[in-house]
Amino acid sequence: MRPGAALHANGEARMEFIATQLVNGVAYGVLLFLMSAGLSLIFGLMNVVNIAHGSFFMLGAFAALSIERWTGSFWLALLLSWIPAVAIGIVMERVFIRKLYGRGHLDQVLLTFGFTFVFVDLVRWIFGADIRELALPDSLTGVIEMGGIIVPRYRLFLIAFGGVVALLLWLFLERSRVGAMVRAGVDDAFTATGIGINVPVLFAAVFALGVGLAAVGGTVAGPILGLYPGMDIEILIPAFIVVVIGGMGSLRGAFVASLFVGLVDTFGKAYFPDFALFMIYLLMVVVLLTRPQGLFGVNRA
Amino acid sequence: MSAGARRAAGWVLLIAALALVPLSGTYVTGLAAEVLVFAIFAMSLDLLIGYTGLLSFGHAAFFGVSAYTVVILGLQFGLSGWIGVAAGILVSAVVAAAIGFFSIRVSGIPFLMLTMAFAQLLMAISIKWRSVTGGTDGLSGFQRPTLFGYSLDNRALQFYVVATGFLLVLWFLRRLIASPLGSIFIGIRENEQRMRAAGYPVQRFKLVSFTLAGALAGVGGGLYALQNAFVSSDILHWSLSGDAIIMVILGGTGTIVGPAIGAGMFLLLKNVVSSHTEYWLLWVGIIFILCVMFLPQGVWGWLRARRFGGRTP
Amino acid sequence: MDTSQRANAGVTVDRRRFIAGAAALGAGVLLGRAPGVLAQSRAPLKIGLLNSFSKVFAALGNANLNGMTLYFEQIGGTIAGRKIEVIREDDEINPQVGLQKLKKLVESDNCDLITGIQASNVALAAVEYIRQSKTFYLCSGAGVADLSYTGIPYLFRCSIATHPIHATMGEWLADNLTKEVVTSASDFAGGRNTISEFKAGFLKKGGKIVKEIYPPLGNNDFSAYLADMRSIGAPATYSFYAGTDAVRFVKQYDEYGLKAKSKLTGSGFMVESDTLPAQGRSALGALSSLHYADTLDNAENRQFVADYRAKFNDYPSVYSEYGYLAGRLIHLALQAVDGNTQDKDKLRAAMLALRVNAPRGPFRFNPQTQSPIQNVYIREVADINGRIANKVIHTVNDVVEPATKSG
Repeated sequence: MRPGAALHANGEARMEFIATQLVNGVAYGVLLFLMSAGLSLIFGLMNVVNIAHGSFFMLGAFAALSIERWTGSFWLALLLSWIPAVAIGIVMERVFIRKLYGRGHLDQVLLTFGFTFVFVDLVRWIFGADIRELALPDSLTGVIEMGGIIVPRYRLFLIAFGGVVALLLWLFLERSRVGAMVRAGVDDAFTATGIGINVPVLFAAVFALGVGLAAVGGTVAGPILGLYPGMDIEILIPAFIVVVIGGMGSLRGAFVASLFVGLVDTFGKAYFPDFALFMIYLLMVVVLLTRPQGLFGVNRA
Repeated sequence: MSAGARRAAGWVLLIAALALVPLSGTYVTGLAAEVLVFAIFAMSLDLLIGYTGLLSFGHAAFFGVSAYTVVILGLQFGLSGWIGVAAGILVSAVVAAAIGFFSIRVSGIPFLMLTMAFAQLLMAISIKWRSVTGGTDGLSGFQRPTLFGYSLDNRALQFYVVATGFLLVLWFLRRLIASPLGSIFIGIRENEQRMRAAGYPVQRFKLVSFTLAGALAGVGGGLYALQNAFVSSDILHWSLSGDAIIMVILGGTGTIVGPAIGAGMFLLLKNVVSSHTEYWLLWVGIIFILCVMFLPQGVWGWLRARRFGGRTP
Repeated sequence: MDTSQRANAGVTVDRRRFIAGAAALGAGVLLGRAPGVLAQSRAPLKIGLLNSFSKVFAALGNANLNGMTLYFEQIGGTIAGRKIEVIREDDEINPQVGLQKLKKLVESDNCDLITGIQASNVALAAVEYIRQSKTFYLCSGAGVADLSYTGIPYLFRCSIATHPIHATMGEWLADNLTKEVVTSASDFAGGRNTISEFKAGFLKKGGKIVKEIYPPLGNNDFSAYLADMRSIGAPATYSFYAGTDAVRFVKQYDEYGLKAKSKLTGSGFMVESDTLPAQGRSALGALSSLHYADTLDNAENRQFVADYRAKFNDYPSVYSEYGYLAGRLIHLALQAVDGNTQDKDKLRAAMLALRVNAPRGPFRFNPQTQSPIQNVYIREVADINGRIANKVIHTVNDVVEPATKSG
């Protein structure tokens, strides 16, 4: 397929095409946001680069699969699937990552990199290597026609869901007491300790929040992407690209960059299929070369 | 024994040990050659991680580009593998200079991501440019060159060629680290600001380090092509860059020889464990985690610390 | 190609094997037993199974191993008095790794023969080594056309060659459904080959390709391409995707309501047992071609499926059947030569002489290409007593691939 071949002379078809891509790009952006929000928070507050973040995305999805198999309910799965991932995340933070706070980024990257191997093989061991399906309730399947535009219901749900999560997250960080502590911690962990914030507990809580978001992301991604060992890395790389583009540690950056990357990836594949493989890499290269700290990043160097 | 005599004895011992490897049969010889190829690759990466403080996640690019150069020159132009290796090293150096030129503008995680992105770009090209690279199916049918009238199809000869390359790289790296240039690299690793304040053009030296590391990785890639007579896009995948990082960490960063030992450990571990269980990645992961937690100086660094009672220069 | 010069690597192996064989024989004679009389008197039969047991092909490799294990258990674990020892190695779908593991199996484990290799890139990378080392290799995986035309005497393939499978579908589709299709496949060698093989049959019967679409490998969203297919509105589409791509493509094809507009058809591998459970009902009605379906109604297959389910508590896949048949062919051929793996020419002749009723139907080797001559089935995904599976709607008997490699 040549560039632009997806387009048709028919203007109506073109509008329909663009609208469909818009919905898909935003839906993909929502998935990226659920991943990158946690990554960015954890980095911003704790200065930890969590390469195993994708693993929690996968753990969440497979926990949802188990819950759905037991209870037959997707909603219950969505409600509870983050629990195992968060439990594992807290153990990982307390037992392993905590020991490395004194060392540099490099060691955290390496440690969590090691965990990705462990998690992917554990999932394969328990669930097998087959691709699994997270089935949707009837209320979320099918399409909605809006002015001649076909939109799958689940994509709309995904966009709404992501919007609500983003809003709650914003309220939590900006309006709540804990949120204020987090913000204080992001600015300066040392001072935070001085004004009586229990930093270790705060760190554990934010780590749990981050991996919980990733797990929920995995759950809502399951019905679209399928479940399989390896889905962790597949989402991790674009999520990292989002965090780097948005600016490390910036939640606003993560939000904007998620949508940006989601749309660029989707439209890029449609209009320049020959470059589909490296469209978002190219985007990252361009952003980093013009603005090394990312779109919303503060220059920490 | 004086330090000089000890060093000389070390070299003699190493050369003698390598010379004897082909007695152990074709399979072990082949495996040993592969270990040495990856040892070169890991040592070249250590120049960045261990000596210049740059965590590159795209080092496979230079290894792969060189291997592709050897095979493509052989298949398309009928050039001998020897010319191929020379060209491969050159191409790797040029590509590394280009990628480095952009990547060193950022540091930390953005640097890691940029180097990975450039390597992925190259892999995408190798997948798409089928007429030249063979895409995912790769390129086979490369004829190995001859040495003194003997074909490199002979496993023992392959090993000696690779071992020679390994010794040269090892010697070069030791000289480099001991040189003033090496001290500047270490200075950048230890404290970039101070080096800058002292008037060193830090960026330029980072680029030199990146280019040198790329060229050395090209030595490994070129020899790998001679050994395997095959190349495919997997050789540019980020997971190979990841493997190299594991090798460096297992062996010990900033120790020159350490990553070579790490390469040996990694490949042997993988070969032994993967014959017994399909979940070998789990074990690699666990060992790697334990190593990062409890043996941050790596196996070689730990041994050396015990042997000499502390870090030796 | 100069093979005389390239044979070096194999010499030591052959010699060592010869010595081992001679020693076993000598021991047997000393103890006053003719070879083959007692299992203990003969060296074990080492079969190297190289396949993908990790990463995205893990399920395929394991199914292959299970099928072969099942067969060897059924025959009591020995062939011609030699105890069977299957040595399994993981190629990680990486040709470089596969080549290294192949060397291990041949040179270090001294395997008598090699089987397996699902990934076509691994198989292609292995060809030169197999040629040089004179390894006896029975491919029970990759269907890539090139393996049929290597001219290597000891290279057999019992799985499939993809050309007959896809070209047959092309002919059938043009004759029975429509002469206009949009094709799509992942943008890699396997995807492009599948489409060109399909076209060979489809164009021959007067079909016309309206458009060819190649999304990248490992794509997570097909909506851009589906929108394109939708606006073209051809009576049918023909596609090939594997693994997660297959799951996402088929699910999204259904999600966007395209099934009612353009009939979903494709390579059998797009809707096989590794992907069908995840595709679920969205795959219903999809037409495809393959040499096998687990619902095939013949005595051999009923028995195979029942035994497989009893042992593994799961339906066999096409990859299990590959392994099962490979085990059977190794058994029958080795029995014919009294377990002698040293005389490869004799073993080769025995292989070529085999005529087997396999679960997939009648099977024999094509003497030119040493790949299968077998039935191709046109199948439709259906709900069979609550299970989503392929049912056979048409059979084309004994399909033979082209004698030389076609474009």
